[in-house]
Amino acid sequence: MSDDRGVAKLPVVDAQGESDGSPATDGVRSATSDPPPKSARGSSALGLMRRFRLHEWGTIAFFLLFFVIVGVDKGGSYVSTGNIFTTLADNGDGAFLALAATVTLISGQFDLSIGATAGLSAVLMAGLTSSQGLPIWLTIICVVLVGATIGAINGLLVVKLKVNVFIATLGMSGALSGVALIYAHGEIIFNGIPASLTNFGRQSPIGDFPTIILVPIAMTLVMWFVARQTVFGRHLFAVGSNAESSRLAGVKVERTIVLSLMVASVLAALGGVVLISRFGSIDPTTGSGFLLPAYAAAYLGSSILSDGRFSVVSAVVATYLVAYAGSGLVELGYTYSGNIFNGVVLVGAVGLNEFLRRHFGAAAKARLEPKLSDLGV
Amino acid sequence: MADPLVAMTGITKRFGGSQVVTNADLVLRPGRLRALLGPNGAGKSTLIKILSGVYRADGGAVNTWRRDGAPGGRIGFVHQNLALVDDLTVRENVYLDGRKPRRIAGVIDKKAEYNESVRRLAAVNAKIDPETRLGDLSLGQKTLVAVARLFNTDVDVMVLDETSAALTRRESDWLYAEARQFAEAGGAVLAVTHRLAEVVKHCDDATVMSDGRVIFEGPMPSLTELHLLMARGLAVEPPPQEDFEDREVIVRLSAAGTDTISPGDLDIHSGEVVGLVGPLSSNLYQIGHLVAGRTTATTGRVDVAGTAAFVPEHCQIQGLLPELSVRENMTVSQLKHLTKWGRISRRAEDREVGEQIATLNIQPPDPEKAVNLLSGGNQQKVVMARAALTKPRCYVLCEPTRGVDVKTRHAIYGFIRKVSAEGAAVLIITIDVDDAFAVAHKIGLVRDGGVVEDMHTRGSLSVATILERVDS
Repeated sequence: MSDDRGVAKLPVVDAQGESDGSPATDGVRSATSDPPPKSARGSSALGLMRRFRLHEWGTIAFFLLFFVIVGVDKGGSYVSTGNIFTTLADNGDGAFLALAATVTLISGQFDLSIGATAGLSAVLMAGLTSSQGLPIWLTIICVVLVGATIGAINGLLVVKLKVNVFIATLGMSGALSGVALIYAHGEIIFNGIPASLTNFGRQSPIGDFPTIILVPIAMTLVMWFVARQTVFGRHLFAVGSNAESSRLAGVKVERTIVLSLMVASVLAALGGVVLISRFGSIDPTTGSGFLLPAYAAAYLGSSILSDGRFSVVSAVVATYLVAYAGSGLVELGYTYSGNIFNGVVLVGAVGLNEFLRRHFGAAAKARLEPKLSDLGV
Repeated sequence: MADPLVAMTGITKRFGGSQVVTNADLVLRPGRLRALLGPNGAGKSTLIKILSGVYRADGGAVNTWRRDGAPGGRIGFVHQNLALVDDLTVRENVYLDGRKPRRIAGVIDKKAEYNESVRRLAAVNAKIDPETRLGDLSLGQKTLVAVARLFNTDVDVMVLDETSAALTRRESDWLYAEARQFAEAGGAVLAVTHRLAEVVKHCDDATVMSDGRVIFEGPMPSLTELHLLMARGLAVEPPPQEDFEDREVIVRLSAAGTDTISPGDLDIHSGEVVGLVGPLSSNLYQIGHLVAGRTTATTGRVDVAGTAAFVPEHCQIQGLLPELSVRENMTVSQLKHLTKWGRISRRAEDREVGEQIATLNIQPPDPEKAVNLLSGGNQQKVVMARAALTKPRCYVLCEPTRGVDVKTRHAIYGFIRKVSAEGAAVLIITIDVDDAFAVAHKIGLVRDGGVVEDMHTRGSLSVATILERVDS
């Protein structure tokens, strides 16, 4: 983070902004030579934060402290490798959904249907392999294709029909939950799922290390490569930063948005596969519950681990941090507090992010948001 | 002379390493219309932002008074982008700032608002129904709404910041008539504009800035004098006169037009720099969008040999990817050439970016810096570098020096000369005559409706004559 230099630079950025629509300059002002609002530098609490670089590691320290407290209070079982591995293995689906959320956020979109897609995928995975008796590999191909189709429909709704992405994916989410319910006849599916599928999710051939942990980690590496090393990934960031600039720079904005939503839906569908493999049953009403933790992790990861920039690796790390903290809350007896915790994390992470932008990275995120329509373009 | 309403004295402002305003004075008196003039980067915009309180001056004093002589005058700004909301009605826009809320127990008194809006609109001779959706109005009508909003309020000073830029001549005549009426009621008016003919016609006093200094202050001179004044201080070596007719044609417009610009012809040869100059109301940038392939022609043909690189007119909004680094901003247009086996080669990227940072002298020379931490001039250079990296045969540059300081301006001129010497065709589209004059071999004037006429070779013109032609 570039703290002070960033703050000092702020006026320079705006200095040349011929077209900034800052409301401060419009309308009527009682003009005297009164000073502009005091900068953050003056405040001593902020000064202390800056001095100890608290804004960079404070939240992580808070999590670690919490883990230690629970560990001390509840004895070694909470901080044992067995418990840590279980948490990692149980949240593989969460990692996939966090990846999906992050990919859409990078490109400036917000996909509300990833939870329902994961739910539907898990239901199809369970149903097709049990009732229909399809082989596992073929079923995985099927759900991936279903995911890609869902993403493509979302994307086309957004770029062709210009439906707001929230509305398009909210509607999609509702429809998919309905399809999952109908397919499962409203019942939990647990019978007849092939053992080879569920064994993979539960086996620990080496010590107490569940193999399934490797699946989301491998996918995270793949997505890191895609996001950070490929043209498609760079275009995701470009479109998310400024779609109009990207278009004028020759980026195929519409294609990038559609692909981003398709990749997200496929990741969500794979999350459903991991889920069924680990837990061996699926309640068709589960889907929408995946949404909150996924976005909480994506935002928390971006604010505490990667300087306000969305990052697939940070999102997955944050998924596990939050999940582990959640299991700590359960240890402490707050059994039903998971949603509260996730909600607080999501809003807290976004609030923290904005706060840091203003006071530390501040200028780094200087607002450049005037609309083109304001400029008569 | 009447006591002033605004007195700015000895104003000085630096941004980073560059001095953008030096010891500038500006006094506004009741009953007077003053024009603030100067080329891009002269410091006008900074001075206005100091007056409005966006920036704080490093040195000097700003004092304001009310009409009755009490300190603390109220200043109303009408910006080029007007600060209106398209989806609200005219009435709602007039009351957008919540001043004088006519409310009974917190409920809006629509009838009173309506009547008052009618009255204010009538005061500016605008025949507009207050219940019209603002987005349905023309730009000229919207401007009048923005002005009407200030009328009959207790504003003491009205600042028209490039307000007339996008207006037709008739609409701008109305605007100045309203400003005059405002001044006669004891207010003061400051007009910031590029259009010299209209200020000569309508304003009483002029302040001309160049390189951050006030180079003229006094009663409005004649248009010719003003043209000479504005041409002064432009110490740019003119490009050598050459004949390009035998060279390869890189850009050819054949009766090409769109919905907003009339069909026109234009040839640009290899190595040639063509400048198009005109008022904003002429939709001149659309010609650039057309050549660069960002809009498609509805009539005629556009032929470009090879690729066209494009720098849009609102560079900071249309050009930058704000949170991304200088490196990512520069390479975004041509990642394919830097990619091997699906992976962007970081080494190739660093090499190309490093070269551009050196050529354009981008400060600070750090490719990993987020681009929105750079100064406006350096941001402009980054967008130029992006264009250069695509190795284009043709550059389309809209307002290449908007809002940059003199040093950067010369760096950009140097860049244009370099790429044209290397054989690229360059099209510069600007409302700033200096830009065209500094580097263009040929200069064309754009009339309302995007009609290009009077294409002249550079040698047969002076800045003053071009200014005259643009204004006439």
